Order: sequence, then structure tokens, then C-alpha cells
Amino acid sequence: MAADHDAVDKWEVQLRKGCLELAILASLWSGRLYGLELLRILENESDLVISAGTVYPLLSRLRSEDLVDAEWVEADLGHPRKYYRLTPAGRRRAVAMARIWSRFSAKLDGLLRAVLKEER
Amino acid sequence: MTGASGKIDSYLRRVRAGLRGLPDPEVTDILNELRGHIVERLELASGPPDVAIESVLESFGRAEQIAALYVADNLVSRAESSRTPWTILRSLFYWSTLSIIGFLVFMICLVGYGFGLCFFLAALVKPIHPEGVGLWYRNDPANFSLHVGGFSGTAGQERELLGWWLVPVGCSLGGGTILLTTHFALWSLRRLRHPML
Repeated sequence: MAADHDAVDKWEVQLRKGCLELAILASLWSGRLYGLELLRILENESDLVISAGTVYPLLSRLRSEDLVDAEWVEADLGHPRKYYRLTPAGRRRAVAMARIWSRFSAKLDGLLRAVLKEER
Repeated sequence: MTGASGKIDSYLRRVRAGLRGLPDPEVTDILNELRGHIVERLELASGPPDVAIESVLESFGRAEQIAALYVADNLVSRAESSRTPWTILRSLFYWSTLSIIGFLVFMICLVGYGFGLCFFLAALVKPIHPEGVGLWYRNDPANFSLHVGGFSGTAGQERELLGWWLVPVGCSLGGGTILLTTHFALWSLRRLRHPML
């Protein structure tokens, strides 16, 4: 039983990891965000609780792939913040990934309906 | 905040140590961003900074692991953009220090590039030293051998199979092996870079 739980936990971690890039691109869809804001959005709106130590290197990779741009902005109070925004290539990638996700999850939902009905 | 500042500095020093190999402006940029995040989290924390710093740094993860993520992604990007065997091998070498899969991929690619280079060298040296370089074959059940390169045995023991065909065959096989190895290396880096850490 414990092994079952472990396997499901591992699967969930992998699933969340796999969604992270799409979730970041989608979070930046409406405008620029800095790291901490992005983490809060991911936590509140997508249930993706991830460490800052994972997000920053990932943002750095997205930047090296020209999917996001970054710029330092002086804050009114406190220290400067590094803001990220989607590039045109990033917007195209977000749309392509969102379409695949949407098609895939709609079909999977159809399959899962029977499983969840049985469980009730 | 003095205790907290000391802990932040020490944490960032460990990150900096792990970022060796990255350009200095990039390292400064990364450290400034991480410092900004930690300081802002501390400002938002309810308890005294000297206590809150522990949980803030804990939520970040190990300094060495964050640095490794940055460096790995950077090396993968460099390998993908340059596509030169040297840059690819450097990236793979770094990966090999992090995981067994990385080590295996590094060894396979080292052998692949080695073979490619041997084929090329044999093709290049053949016109200069036609009798001494070739594809040598020894049909002796007790001591069978087939190898490309210089002949080192006693005269008459081995037969050369390709003659001047070694030049086009060596160039094609050398180029093909290097190309295939590069494709395999980039495929492995793209597919496996996340599970590696």
C-alpha cells in the first residue's frame, strides 16, 4: 500500500515537472512578472508549488532559448527586480503547447469519467 | 539582519562556486536575482530575519544543486548552438560528473568522436604514407584482427583491404561517425538533462 502511494507521488511529481514550462509561459501571457510574483501565481492559480531554486534556472533556460526576455527594473522601494516577459517565439510556443494540452486533457477527461464514476 | 546577511552571503558564495565556467556578467546577474528574491522573502516574513532566513534558504534548495541546474542548462544551450565536438564533449563531461547516465553518454560520445577522428586521420595520412596506413586484416583464427591505421606487425602477417579507397571511405565514415555522435549527444542532452539533476 505504501509502495502504491510512493509510485503515485512520484508520478505526480513528474506530471507537475512536465507542466512547469507551459505554466510559466501561460503565467507570463498577460504581461511581465518578476520571479517572486511568478512563483505566487503558479502556487495560487495552478497548484504548482515549486521551489525558487527550480524556477530561476528554468527561467534562465527559457531566456537562452529566446522564449522570454528579461530586464532589470528599479523598484520605488527596495532593490531592483528582474522582470520577465514573453518574446514572440515564447507566445508561439505557449499557444502550441496550450493547444496540445487542451486537446490531450479533453480526451483524457473522457476516459477518466468512467474511473471517477466507479470510484464514487 | 547581520546574521541573516552573513547566511545569505555564505549561501550565495556556494552558488557562485558552483557556477564556475559561466561568464562573469552572467554569474553576477544570477546572484543579484537570487539575492533580491531572498531579501524580499525576508522582508515579507513575519518573524525576525535571523530566524526566517533558515526557512527562506531551505525553500530555495541546496546551493550546489541550483548552481548545477544553471550550469547544465547553459552548457546544453552552448552545445546546441555551437555543435562542435569540443563544446559538446565539455558539456557531456560536466554532465558525467553529475550522473551515471551522463557518464555513459560521455563515454559513448568519446568513443564515437575517437573513431571518427581515426577514420579521418587514416584518410589524410594515406597519401603521405601509402604503404603504412590502411584497413588491415589478419585471417588467423588464433589471432584475428581488423583495424584502421598504421601497420605495426611483421611483414606478411596482415593484408591491406582498401588500398586508395581508404581516402573516400575514411572521409565518409569519419564524417558520418562524427555527425551521428553529435546527433546522439544533442539528443541525449535534450532528452535527459532534466532527470539528470
